[in-house]
Amino acid sequence: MSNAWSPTRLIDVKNRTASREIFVDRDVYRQEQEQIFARAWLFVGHECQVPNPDDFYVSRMGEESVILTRDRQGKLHVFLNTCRHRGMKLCRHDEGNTRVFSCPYHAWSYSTDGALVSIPGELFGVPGYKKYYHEELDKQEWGLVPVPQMINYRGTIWATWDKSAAPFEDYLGSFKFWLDSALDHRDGREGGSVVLVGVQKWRTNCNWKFPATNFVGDAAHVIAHRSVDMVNLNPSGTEGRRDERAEGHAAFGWPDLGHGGLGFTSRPEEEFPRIPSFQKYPHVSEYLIQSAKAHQKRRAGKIHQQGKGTIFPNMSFHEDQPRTIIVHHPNGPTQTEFWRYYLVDADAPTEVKDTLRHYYMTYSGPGGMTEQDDLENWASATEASQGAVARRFPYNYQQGLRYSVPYEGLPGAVWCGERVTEQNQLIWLKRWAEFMEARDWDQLMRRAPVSNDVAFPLKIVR
Amino acid sequence: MDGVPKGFEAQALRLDVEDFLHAEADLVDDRKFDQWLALFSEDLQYRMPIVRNIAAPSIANEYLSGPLDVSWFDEGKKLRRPWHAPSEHGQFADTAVTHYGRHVVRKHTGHRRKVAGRISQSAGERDDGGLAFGDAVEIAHDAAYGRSGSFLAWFNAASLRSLI
Repeated sequence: MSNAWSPTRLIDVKNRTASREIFVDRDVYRQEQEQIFARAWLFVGHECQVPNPDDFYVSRMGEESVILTRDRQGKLHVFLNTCRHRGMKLCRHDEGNTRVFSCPYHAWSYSTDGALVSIPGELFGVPGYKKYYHEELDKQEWGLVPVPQMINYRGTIWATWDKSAAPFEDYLGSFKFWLDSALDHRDGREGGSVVLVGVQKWRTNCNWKFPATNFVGDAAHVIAHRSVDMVNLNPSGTEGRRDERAEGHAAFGWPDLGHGGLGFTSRPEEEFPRIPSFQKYPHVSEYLIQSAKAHQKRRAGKIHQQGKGTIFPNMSFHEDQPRTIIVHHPNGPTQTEFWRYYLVDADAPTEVKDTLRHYYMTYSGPGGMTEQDDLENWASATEASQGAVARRFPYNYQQGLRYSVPYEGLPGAVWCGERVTEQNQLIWLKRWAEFMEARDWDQLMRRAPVSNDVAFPLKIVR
Repeated sequence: MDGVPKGFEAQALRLDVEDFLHAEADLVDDRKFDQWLALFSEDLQYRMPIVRNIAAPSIANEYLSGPLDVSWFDEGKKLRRPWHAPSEHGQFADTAVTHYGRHVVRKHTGHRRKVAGRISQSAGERDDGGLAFGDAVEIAHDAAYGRSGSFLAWFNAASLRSLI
């Protein structure tokens, strides 16, 4: 790759193509760590993973390990999981409970406990502090590195390394309604969901942008799941791998923000059809029917918003079948570490949770029917895009473009009335290029003009 | 342990189990899915728990095998049967679909011969202390056979420890 590359050249919005370099090249990957993963809002975990004081859960933000922990006052913190002394990975467990994080290398020890330290994450104890450091080590200066911004959004924990990043809800825009549709209780209460215990973590040899742009609303890859559809995974025992959906299920993308997915046209709660589901499992079917009734009653007079998709850059979620969150952590230019979580209503009956759990695992994860199809596609596409010759030929994103128009029901969103279109993938890639150009947050949030900006190609109305 | 074969008897059982595993592998490799499925007990629980890296005092909870814990997979015979229905209906006629047929079965056998390798390749490998997926599937099979002479693919940390 030449030194003269520019993100806008790699992503050609006008011709609707993307260079293969962005899926395989090491220099592009290194820039992504700086321009995207050190700046964008990233999913860290769920508050239910650290319910008690001193609980911790080790997660990732991009390539880097972070610790999510709850202090003794109940406040949540996210720290970079590295010792300030020699960079040792401070906490090497996946989760647990501790008052003090003590480094296995030279025992520098850090705490969030106000009784031990004055700043959460401060250096609490260092061997030889008196005798060998002569008490001249500034313990506050050498504490753990905290994220400058984090938020607990309906139970989900998000953080960014950029203190000037736009507030999380501005970053989401009206796409937040769809995230809400995954996180809110089936009966319409705000939040009310938890993740089941057990995060599926695995690595696949594909670039992280394959899953991100697949889940952003690629409805054309259904052919890949032909085997799953043939064996009828459908929880009502009919055809396909999911229950029948309400009409008006289409692709919506947010050109200014990079998010997108498949979801339903906006309509009053009372008009959103509740189609019976999980009919092979009457206890689940009944639970969902009763919850939907309560939902309709609770939100009467409001607009029903529901969908699934990708939040730029690397968190994807599904709001119902299967109700899940997946994070695509970059792990080198040609490897992704996937972390998949499964959502249920916190107070759903045990047998309902159990049936949903079985369906989720059968559908998703590396042992799941559907996920394996996708993993093979992404790994094979990554492999076949690495050659010197293969790299000369860009990918094509021309399906359905210039047919999109603004959608009034979701401010900032566009659609073309179809499920099958590549508008969302191009929207995501356009956002990728904007971050990679090192635009500042005023430019990223459309508060300041950009000279070389290329508008997302909407339908030309004559 | 009471009732566990020892000495020559144990060696003979081990050979039986190995022969059985190879015969089972042949059924899958030859795509004789109905015969393969018939090997399973009705009360089959086919589960591979997620292993966590946790501190030594909690090590008993290393394997997530609680009733509502997420696993790599956790299925019974009833859940497995529909996946093989297309083969019974003879729908895998053309080459492309035959490939899909193998694919379906491969997904859920975790077979120790051809199949485990391909799952491992597909699922990727954890090199930071977690089990590689293919390896773990093989261990699951070993553990299943160790617990019972008949095919009962339930395994847990205890049966795992008794075998390796």
